[in-house]
Amino acid sequence: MATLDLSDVSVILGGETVVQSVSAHLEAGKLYVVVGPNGAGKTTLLKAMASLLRLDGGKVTLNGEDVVAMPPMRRAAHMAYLPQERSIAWDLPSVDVAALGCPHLTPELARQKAFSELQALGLQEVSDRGVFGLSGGQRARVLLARVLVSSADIYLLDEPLIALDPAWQRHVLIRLRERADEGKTVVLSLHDLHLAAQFADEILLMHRGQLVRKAGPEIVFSAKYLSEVFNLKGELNDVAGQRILRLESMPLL
Amino acid sequence: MHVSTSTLNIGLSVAIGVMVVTLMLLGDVPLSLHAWGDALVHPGSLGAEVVWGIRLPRNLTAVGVGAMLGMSGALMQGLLRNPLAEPGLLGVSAGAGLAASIAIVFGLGLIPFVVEGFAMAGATGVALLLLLFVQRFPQRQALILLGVGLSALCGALMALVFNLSPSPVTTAEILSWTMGSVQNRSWFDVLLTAFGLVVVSALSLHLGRGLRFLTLGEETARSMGVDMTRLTQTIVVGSSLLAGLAVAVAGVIGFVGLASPHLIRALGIKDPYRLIWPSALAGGLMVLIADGCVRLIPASGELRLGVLTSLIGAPLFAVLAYRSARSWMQD
Repeated sequence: MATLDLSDVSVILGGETVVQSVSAHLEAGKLYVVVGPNGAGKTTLLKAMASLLRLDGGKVTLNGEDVVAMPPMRRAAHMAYLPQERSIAWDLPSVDVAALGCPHLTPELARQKAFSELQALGLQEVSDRGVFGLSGGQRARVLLARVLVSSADIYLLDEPLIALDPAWQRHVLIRLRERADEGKTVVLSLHDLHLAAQFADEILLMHRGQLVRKAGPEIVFSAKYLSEVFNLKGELNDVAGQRILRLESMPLL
Repeated sequence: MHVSTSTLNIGLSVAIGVMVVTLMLLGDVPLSLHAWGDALVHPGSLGAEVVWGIRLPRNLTAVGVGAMLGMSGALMQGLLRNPLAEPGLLGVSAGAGLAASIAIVFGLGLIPFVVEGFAMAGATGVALLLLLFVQRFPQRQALILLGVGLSALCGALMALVFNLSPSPVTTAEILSWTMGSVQNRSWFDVLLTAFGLVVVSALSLHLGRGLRFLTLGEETARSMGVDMTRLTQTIVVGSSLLAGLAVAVAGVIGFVGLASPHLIRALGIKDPYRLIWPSALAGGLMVLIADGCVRLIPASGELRLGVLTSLIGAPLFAVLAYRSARSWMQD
């Protein structure tokens, strides 16, 4: 169980303020989705949470402890991070790539755990196959498995649904939902607002480096924010207990 | 084909052992197995002189130099995530070669260990430049660019040394040195290679696991607790030490560092950490066999080791590259 707190976090990259004074309190057992148009600062915000870049202001604390000051290995034990970069340098078997997510287990246990996660992601038949021979979607799932096997209590995933077909997108979100229900803090960035509306406990709405709103989907996906931030017309409806978002484009500004 | 790392390590070690013994029996003075056994128990005999004083140190130097190049290649490829990386990529070998050629031009080639010392100094100089650079710019692309630049600069300076060298004899001497050889090497050379291998093995055991996480990119590695700057510095130091010592001991021996890790990958081991030691053994075996050929193939002039390794290594490498390319296509 872990809580992650951002207070006044700012990041400047190449002279431009990419994340500006973001403060947020993220609790265990919840699934947070970061949304925002291109260039809103979603990736930078996730990297700041994972302590992968230097903060130009503010701080990130994990259970009250400054993340920057934590020894890298201990930080890694608390946080699992999936970057947007999906390259794999060597043609390792899928199961070995997934097993990288649990370096603290013995090799046999790690492989067992990796295999069952690959199975859950529909990859049991290719578990011994080299990753170079997999399709883009399969490779994306192998890399997701690497995070899902981790015993970390915070999962940070940057665009985890890239390259997945609609069925697998939903399946992966269900899997992440389960992890949140087990008590993990799950934070992911998404472009698909429909899925964000359906699966998130809370949405972090980023726009021009600022956290415009952090609240439930019914608040964030209001007509006001949709038009101001995304230049979209739309409304969120409750259909038989499911949140369904309807979107229409607006003329380009 | 898939073999476990330990099976491969044992297999390669046995092959090296068998080759070392076989090559001790063969040569200008052929020894029977009986004479060889005799030489082992009677120091001072002619056989013992040939075995202990000439052939064994030469064979072990060949193994040591090859192992250093193979290990250095595996470390470089793992760090740079690039199958084309090799010990010479960052300019360390070129720096060692340049310094050695300067020593030869100034007529210091005849004083024992001076050329070797110069070569090590040249390698150290380049390695220090790389380290200073890594501290500021730890990104691998930056490191590759600097290394290629340094390598080209040392190459140009070496051409200048050739250009200005006082006599054709000196030029020939440098040229012959750069073509690599383990002829007439002593137990001191064996010790030097052993020293390099032990130090870098210890460094690899300590930090090499980071290479595994690096398979998924620098961000993933860092998120998994790998200190990238430290890993990069350690591997630059380790790989430079190996490449510099290899040039100091045997001159320039091409392709072994590039081809060894590929050979091991072709045998099914893709993990950049587990690849380190089998690559070293494969490199050792390759240079040992190449040196055996150099010694035993009758040629009008003496065939040079570095020439032969490149002659064998380049086509072998092309075949491996073709196989890899084909397997990527099939999948």
